[in-house]
Amino acid sequence: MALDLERTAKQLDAMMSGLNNFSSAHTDRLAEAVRVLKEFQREVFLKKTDSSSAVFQWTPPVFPEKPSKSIEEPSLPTSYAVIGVDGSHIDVNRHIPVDCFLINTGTAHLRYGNKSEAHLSSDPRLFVPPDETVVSDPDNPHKVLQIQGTILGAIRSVKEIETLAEALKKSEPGSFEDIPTVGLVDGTLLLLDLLRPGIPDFVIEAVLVEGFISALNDIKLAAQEKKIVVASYISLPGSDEIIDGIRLLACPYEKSDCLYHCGEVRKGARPCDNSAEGILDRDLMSVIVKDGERSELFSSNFQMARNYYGDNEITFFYLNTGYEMARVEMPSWASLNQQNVDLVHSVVMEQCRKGRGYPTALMEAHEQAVISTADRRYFLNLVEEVLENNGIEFTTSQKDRSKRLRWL
Amino acid sequence: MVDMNTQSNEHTTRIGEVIESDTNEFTTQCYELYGAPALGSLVKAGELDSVYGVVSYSHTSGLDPTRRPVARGEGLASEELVYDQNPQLNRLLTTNFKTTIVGYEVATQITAYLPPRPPRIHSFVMRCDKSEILTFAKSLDFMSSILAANLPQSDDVVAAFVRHACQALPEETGLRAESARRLALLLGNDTRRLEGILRRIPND
Repeated sequence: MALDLERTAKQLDAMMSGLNNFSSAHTDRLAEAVRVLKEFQREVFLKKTDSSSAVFQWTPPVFPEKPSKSIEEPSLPTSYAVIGVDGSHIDVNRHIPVDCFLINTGTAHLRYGNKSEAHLSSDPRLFVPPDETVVSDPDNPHKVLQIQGTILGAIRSVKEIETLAEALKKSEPGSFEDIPTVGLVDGTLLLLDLLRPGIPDFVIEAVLVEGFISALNDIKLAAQEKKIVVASYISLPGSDEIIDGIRLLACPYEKSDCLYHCGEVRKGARPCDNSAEGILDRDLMSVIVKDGERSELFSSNFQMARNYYGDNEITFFYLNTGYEMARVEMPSWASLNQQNVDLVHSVVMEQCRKGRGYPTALMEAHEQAVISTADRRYFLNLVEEVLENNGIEFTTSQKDRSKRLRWL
Repeated sequence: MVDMNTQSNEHTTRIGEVIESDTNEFTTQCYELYGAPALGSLVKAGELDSVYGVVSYSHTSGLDPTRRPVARGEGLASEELVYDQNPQLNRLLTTNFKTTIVGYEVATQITAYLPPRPPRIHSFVMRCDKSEILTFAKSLDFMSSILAANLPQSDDVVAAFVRHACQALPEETGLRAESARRLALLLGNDTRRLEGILRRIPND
């Protein structure tokens, strides 16, 4: 039976009436957040951060001197290149007899200016049991974690950044000329999903440290000899880190001890909620940052991440692409150099113009990586064929069989 | 022994590869965007026992049929800049052309009628040299199959072949007159159609 649209529509109507009430309060809170940001004083912020560090429940980033500044679009280099990398995967299917998964990484290497050209490619990689589908504890071979779901998502991010590192290291195919090259990945560089409670240390070590951060270090090393820089692009970002800082600034207490002062106060009635509740960074930045311009640079301040990221710690700015307020992240070693930030700003802006709201290099990398429904079916058929050719019966669960046959 | 000169020459005249093939025609995907030979050109497919054909249709579109090209040139000074500033277009658009089969080669002899089998998929497609054009220009037997193919552009294809042959073989002074005579025989009393084709083959 199909979705009951009539009953669903009634629930959507109910949701809208709730949202309308929310809308006017949201506007007032946003105006208050803008006021707080515009009156920002670094000394006050640092003092509040110091006095409340252990007891403030939110995670504000490191703020720049003038966080409400909008920075003009820098000029674009005459010749430059952009390498976009994106990935797609086929997750482990527990209804088939083999626990394998596939990651397809797409790369778009676009060169502009003198001798413009493009190289588009994809690299499918099958991960097979027993060793490639689990993360093992090197100190205890009996401790293993099956790669699927969140961990598989993180492994895919590792594959993407490794592919980008390789592409950046050998950028400039067939030419010795060193032109500025921006490496772009889609989504955040902060793999916070891996740092959630419950993820074993050996998994963090294998996936985050030896995988993701090691690839960032490779890029950092290569950047000492070539004009390359790495950044990630987040469309419609849902972060509220800057808003966390607004909460701290709006807190009326000398020491912002959330549990002590507001532990009993309901959500929405806390003093900081007047300038923060329901507001995202992108809402605030939409008021601050003009078309084509960027915000100042902030540094993420998640303690768990800092422990692992070192000088790859994540800095970010907001970019008003004219289509949306995007978040652009860079490792701090890259953003320390103002020229790198300017390069990323101008190149990503131009990419968004060419891609009508989304960077062309990422769009084309996605097109290379995407695995269609038909391809997913062919993959399953191939697995079945290979197993049966090798005398292994392709058994499937009765649930999967029932879903496929859909008899009356 | 491989003749290196011939191999190098073939490489430079190679246009693309066969991607669809049947008894009457084959489709070639060009290596270069907009790299299709002119309508009415003679091409051959296959390194050995080549199959010959006359280009009868070409089209350029996105490699992925679900992605439509969009206008990109607003504010740019020239059409060339659209491609310069969007280099991925050269990878994402593709030019294909169809060829009506007119003959084949067997044991170094070219025959001007349909081969026993069409060319294989991925056969290399190459431009033809003067001697090959001369063979077909002298026979002209293939014109009946193009005229009978009932393509909207059949008459243009025949006229374009004769034009190209006259340009490639300036020493064959009687080529236009001979073509006109053969066309008159093929078209019988359809003088209007004959006139239409001959108007497309200037005298000079």
